[in-house]
Amino acid sequence: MFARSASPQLIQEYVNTGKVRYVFKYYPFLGDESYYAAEASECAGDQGKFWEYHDLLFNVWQGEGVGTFLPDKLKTYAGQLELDTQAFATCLDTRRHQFTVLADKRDGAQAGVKYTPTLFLNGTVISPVSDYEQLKTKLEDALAGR
Amino acid sequence: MSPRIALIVAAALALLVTACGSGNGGNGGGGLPQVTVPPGTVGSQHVLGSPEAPLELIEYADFQ
Repeated sequence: MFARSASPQLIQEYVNTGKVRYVFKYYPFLGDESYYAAEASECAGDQGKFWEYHDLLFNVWQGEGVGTFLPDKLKTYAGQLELDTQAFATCLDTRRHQFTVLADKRDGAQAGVKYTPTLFLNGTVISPVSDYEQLKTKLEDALAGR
Repeated sequence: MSPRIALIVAAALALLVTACGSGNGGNGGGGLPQVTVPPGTVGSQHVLGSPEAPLELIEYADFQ
């Protein structure tokens, strides 16, 4: 998966150097746990730790529909990041951010997303990208105007 | 199977497929209730990097 394998290098070599602006969007479609995880990330974002929570979720991933992203687990992860777990639980249980997540999915569908990860570079789909080296080639081509 | 029974079976299967595919915008038929995004709802805003960067990379992802 792109985010697990390529994001750290992308951020170090292209985002932190001012070459790329990276935007993360939700496209949950693999089941309820996908929605729980996305909404939980927004709840973490409410407390200023979206990216930390995002990274944690990709690190603890074990597979599709295996229970890793059920609400109780997601609350445990919030505790690991020293979030206010009560506020986090309320946020998640009340589904405060369900429309934000669904709006991303709506926008993605309108843009032509049909699978994940789907990558757009300056508005054009460049996925599937198999690894960081392939992504890097596409970025370098774009930077060179090719 | 008689044509009449085949028709009934086909109709039942169609209903079943419709029911399974209708959960929360196609979320795999799970337990979350169906909802419609209110018009004008804005999506998430998670961005890294400078707005001056020459390239914008948008990733649509599923945590699973």
